[in-house]
Formats: sequence, structure tokens, C-alpha cells
Amino acid sequence: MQRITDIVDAVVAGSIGETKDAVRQALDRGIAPMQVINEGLVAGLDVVGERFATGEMFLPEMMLAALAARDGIQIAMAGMKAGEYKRKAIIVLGTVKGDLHDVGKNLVALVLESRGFEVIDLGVDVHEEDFINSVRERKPEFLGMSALITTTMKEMGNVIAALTQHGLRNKVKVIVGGAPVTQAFASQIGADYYGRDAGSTAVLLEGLLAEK
Amino acid sequence: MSMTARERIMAVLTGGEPDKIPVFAYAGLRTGSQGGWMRRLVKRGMGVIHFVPPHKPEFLHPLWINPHLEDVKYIQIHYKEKGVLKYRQTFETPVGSITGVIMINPVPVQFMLDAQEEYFVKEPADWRVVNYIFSGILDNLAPNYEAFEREEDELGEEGISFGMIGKTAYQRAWVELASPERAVIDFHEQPAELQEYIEIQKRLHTRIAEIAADSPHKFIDIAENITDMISPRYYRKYCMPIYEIYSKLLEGTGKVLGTHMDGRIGILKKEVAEAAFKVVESYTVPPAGDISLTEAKAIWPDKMIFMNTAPHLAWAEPQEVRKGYEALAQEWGSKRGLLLELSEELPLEKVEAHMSAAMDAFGY
Repeated sequence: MQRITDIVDAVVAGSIGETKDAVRQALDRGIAPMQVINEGLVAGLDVVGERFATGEMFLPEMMLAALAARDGIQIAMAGMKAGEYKRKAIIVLGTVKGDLHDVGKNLVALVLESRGFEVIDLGVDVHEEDFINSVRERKPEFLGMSALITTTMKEMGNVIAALTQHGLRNKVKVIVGGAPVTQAFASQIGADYYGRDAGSTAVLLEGLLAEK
Repeated sequence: MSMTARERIMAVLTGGEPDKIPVFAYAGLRTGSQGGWMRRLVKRGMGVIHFVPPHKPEFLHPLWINPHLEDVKYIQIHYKEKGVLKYRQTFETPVGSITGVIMINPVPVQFMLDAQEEYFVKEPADWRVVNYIFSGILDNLAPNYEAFEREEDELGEEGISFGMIGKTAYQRAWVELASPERAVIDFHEQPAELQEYIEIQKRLHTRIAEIAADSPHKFIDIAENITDMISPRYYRKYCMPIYEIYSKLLEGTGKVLGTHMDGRIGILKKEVAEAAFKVVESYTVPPAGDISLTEAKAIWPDKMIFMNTAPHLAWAEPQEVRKGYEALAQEWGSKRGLLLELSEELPLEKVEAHMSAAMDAFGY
């Protein structure tokens, strides 16, 4: 259907204005909001994700596509009943204590949000107790932690230990990432997964949900 | 008789072979030098790197961004919010104002690890104010050679001053001026103000390159902070032409050109091979980086590697650190073209032991 294809193309092109226009036009034509979201916006993100994985597209383009899709979802949601748009899962995200950097974490948040996750972004310099409280209260499927510097990356291990102490460890899957973080480090501290970048993190989490 | 630190880095920069792989540290990273770790390491032969821009005024975020221009009022207000020290920087100009907030890292880490909470450019029109500031800088650019001579005099044989240059247009935009989202959108949509910004940055770099060419510096380093937040297309369009300008103007002066590239740069392998600089400065080894020394040697045979301290060894015990650097030295297979630098950060409680173990590995 042309209107849906226009949405896909606009998202892949990273054109926020054209995406919003295409979504509005599709809705005006009577296409259901969820169809606009799934077959238009998310489908466009899928194309970008595939091209990112094969090295044809890169982080700036992924960011543009996610920004376009996020704005498109907002427009589509406006025409939906409360609760009609169900988020796939909840993820609590934060940069660990002592670390103020959030570029990578923000990109992960943007990509996941655009792909239908409910993202609870605790921000930067997030202390252990704030991660714990958020996991306890919001019961997310995933907890994502980011660190940009070697000085603070050990905090991730402290949070995981605290989850265990508070009886919450088996209630949430922990994924860690950031410039100095590696798979080996993630394994060493007992994280469930390592997120190399925003694109592969989204693919990983959606794959895990699909397995359930 | 063993070489001095300065002789070692100069040997590398001139294509020669030092007696040992040089080990250096950014001077600014001596924050928290507990009982003088830097002094002890320098005594052992570690070199020290100072930054001295070849020109003034300078805009090297977040340290040196007051351009001291007649009609640009620069205001800095320090405050504390929820336990975090912050400062708001505001530029007031005849064409408008822009303001941003820096957060100061709450744990003691080395400098330049503060983070931007609020960026200066929030909408396309804000580029007009940025353009006004940089046009003023351009009109007032002058050599800064005396400052360099002073630093070099102080360093003597213990180190070298890098001629630090600010970023190229796209990198400056997303790292220093606008948020990554704002920068990415504006570079995609290319509003007139952004196009003017790109043009002004090109003229600025051209003039800086002329000044650098006449400077007494030995090594000119563009503080790009290139990672995978740039696409190869943007790198070719916004970075490489500027490197070309520097390369042409520095030709025949004996100066070496480098760019600061830390983190994952694997998507730019081909581009870096073609780029007109000689030093990949602050290169990150795997697994945090994504190009091994073996591959770097193969794909960039004419480039020198100034490698950052290995993040995966940051928390390791000294014997593991030593083994790690022995393995890296073996992998590189030569004392030519390689240098180890503390150019990012290490946990303060580990830094002396780490650098000492690295020096053990390299035969100091």
C-alpha cells in the first residue's frame, strides 16, 4: 500500500518531516494506527537495522531513523485509545554512579523507544539504590547500565550484587554496555548480556522477547 | 646511554627507532597524583604531553572556550545541583545568546571527562550565534608561539607539547555545540545557518593551518574524538578535506599531523588509510577498540599509532598488565611507529601500577 511504503521510505531516509507527513496522510486515509506503526514505522526501522548490521548504514543514520519513527509513533498514538498501544517490555536504563556520560545510553533509549519499548531512563550518575528501587517498583524485564570510563565500570558489578542481596536478581535481565565494556567484562561481573551498540542491543532484546 | 623521553617521541615522529617504545601521559591527567605518581614515573622515563594550541584565541571545549572578543560577553556561573557541581556557560552576542551546562564529574577522574548536560545549540537559529563567535575568532586569530616556547622550556627532555587543534565541523557540532540528535538532524537537513557554520569552520581551519605551519611545534594534533558516531560518508565530506588542508600547508615544515581517534573506528578503515595525517592518536586496542595492531599495521602501513592505555587492562593486576603490553609490543613487532600514552583515563588507584607495569613490559 503506497501510504505505508511512503512511511517506510521516509524512516529509512531519516526524514523526520516526511515521516510525520506520511503518517498523517496514512491516518487520514483511514489506515489503522497500529498498522501505521507496525507496517510503516517499525518496518522502516527493521530495514535500517538490517543495513546497520551489514555495514551499509551507520549510527547517525540509525539515530535519524529512530527520531523519525519516534515522532511518527507519537502522532499515531494520538489517535489511539488509552492502553491500545502496548509496549513490548519495560527497560530501566542508566549511566552508573560517578559517570556523567550518556550519549550511548541515550541512543539506546531512543532506538528502544522507537521500537516499542517503555524506557525508564534514570539519567546519569545513577546510584545503586536508585537502580534497585526502580527495578523493585517498575518490575522491568530488562535493566541496562552504561559506563563510559574504566573508573566507573566496576559500579555495574556492585549493582548486580545489590540486585542479588535484595532478592531481585532473577526478576530482571541485566545488559551492560559503554566504551570500555566488553563481553568478557560483562561475563565477569555476572551480567546477562553485553550490548555492543544501540542497534545490536535492540535486536538482542527483541530476540529475547520473541523466545519467551 | 638511554634516550630521553623527548628523544624517544621525536625518533618515532621522524620515522626513526627509539631505544624503547615511548610511554607518555597527558599532563592534565596528573589530577590526583597521589604522592607524586607522575613525578616518579617521569623519573623512570615516562614522558609528559602538554597541549598548546598554535593559535589564539582558542575554542577547545570545555577548557578554553572564552574567545575574549570585544562584542561577545562570556559568562560562567558555578553551582551545585543534587550533589553535582555544574557550570553554566553563556555567550551573549549582537545576534543572540546561547547557553549550555557542563557537569563536573563527581568522582576524582582525570580532566576533560566532564559532560555536557545542556548543549548550546537547541534549534537551527542558534547556529547564527555560533557563527558569530567563530567568525570573531577567525578575524582575531594570531600565533601563540610564545606559549609553546614556554611549555617546551619547562618540559625540556621530559616531554613534548602537542599543537592541539579544535575539531572539524561535524565532530565539533555533535560533541561540543549541539546534542548528537540536534547535530545529526541539522547535518541531514542542512539549514542555511548550518551551511554557513561549515563554511566558517573550513576557513577557520585553513587559517589555523597557516599559523600552525609557521609555528615551532613538532606535532599538530586535531582533537577530533572520532568514534563510530560518524559515518564514512560524513568522514569523507567533513573531516578528510580539512586534513588535506593541514597536510598541504604543513608540507615541508617537518611537522607531523595526527588526529585523536579513540574507541571503535573500524568503519573508517579505508578512509583513515586515505586520510592525509600520519598519527592515529589515542588509538584503542581491542577488545574495546575494533582494529587490532596487526590489522592497523597492515591497512595503514604509513601511519604511526599512539595507543591509549588498554581499557581491558584498567583493573588488572600488574603482572597481567605487563603481559598484556608485552603481547601488544610483540604483535606490533617493532619499536618504530608505536607509542603508549595515558590519553583517556585509568582508575586513580591503578594508574601508577599500570603505567609502571607497561614500562616494565617495554624494558624501562
